[in-house]
Amino acid sequence: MSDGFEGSGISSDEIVELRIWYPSMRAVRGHGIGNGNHRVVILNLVGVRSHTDDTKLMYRLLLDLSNFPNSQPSAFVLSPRDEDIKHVNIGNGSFTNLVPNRKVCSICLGGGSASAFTSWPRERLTRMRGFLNHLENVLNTPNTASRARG
Amino acid sequence: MITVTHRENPRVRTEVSSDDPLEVSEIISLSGLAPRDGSPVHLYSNGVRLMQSESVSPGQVVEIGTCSLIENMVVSHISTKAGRSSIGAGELPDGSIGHAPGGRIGDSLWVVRHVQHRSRKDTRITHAQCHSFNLEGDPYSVGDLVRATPTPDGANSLLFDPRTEEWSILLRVSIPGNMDAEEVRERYRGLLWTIRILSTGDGGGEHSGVLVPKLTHLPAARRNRS
Repeated sequence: MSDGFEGSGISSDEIVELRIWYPSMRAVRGHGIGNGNHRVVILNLVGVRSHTDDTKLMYRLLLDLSNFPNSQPSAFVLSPRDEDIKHVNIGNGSFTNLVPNRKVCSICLGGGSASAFTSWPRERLTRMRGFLNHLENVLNTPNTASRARG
Repeated sequence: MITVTHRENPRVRTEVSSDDPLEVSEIISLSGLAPRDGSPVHLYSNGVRLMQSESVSPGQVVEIGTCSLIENMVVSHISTKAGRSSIGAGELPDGSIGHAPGGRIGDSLWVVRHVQHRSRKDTRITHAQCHSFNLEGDPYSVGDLVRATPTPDGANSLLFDPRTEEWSILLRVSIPGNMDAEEVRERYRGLLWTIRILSTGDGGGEHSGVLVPKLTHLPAARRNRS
């Protein structure tokens, strides 16, 4: 029986399920994969400003789910803007094919995170919830040993 | 035991164990259904939203909900055309017909509703006046068409911020130079204006815009007022 891992991206039904805990999650139109799933979603997560300033702020994120659930998604910050970001694990702005005419900042997810992701149970929503949990953790506990800026 | 169901996802149901009444915030936290993305959350009892100070007794069934104001709409037709500007219309998730200035056929828009009314031709149809914004970056750009009901002096309004879902962006409103400002304020007072964005403040700060009379509905009774 299929575990759904042959279909990359995320389905509308899965987004409905995830929106219980992440109501801000939305699929970005125009990034369909061809299997009916969405390649790109955006959502908000709360994190700290930096390792020296634990003021909470809202990060607006974009996730690239091209290879989800087989591989860990890529995560980018849409806002705050590049020049206003102080978090050491968020890289400097660069252009991607996901957002035209706009620089976005890639989030450094940690050295072992990709292999940890693939070791998780082969259950799509479990992996996505685990990933979002990890992302929330990264945004709230800046790791100065793994600087992507500053 | 207090039963908690989810307003937007009725399949979800959980129980919070307690022999005593619990405060709203405790139930939200203990239910395991609290949003983790900073979204606002409320509890409802019999469809009525509970205040934070209220408590819920064992045996009660409550709903948890995040009630997002943001809706998606695909523009299927043009409902108003005025020169090069237009208002696009399409179906909202609840079946209402949304109308968003600037929408073109085929556009997939994120919108927020301002006002709605029943169709006079068919009372089963609801028309909702909306405006659209961008969810991927800054919500508004110069040239965007938005909607707002300015203060009685026609100078200020608060614009919807989709990042926080609050009406919190200060919008300074001006009146086209070829119109009599005093007369416009009188005629358009209390109405929902369509406004073209002229400038956007950094990081969601103060925005400015100008009234677009051709895309602002003016009731017949006010049209010929001298």
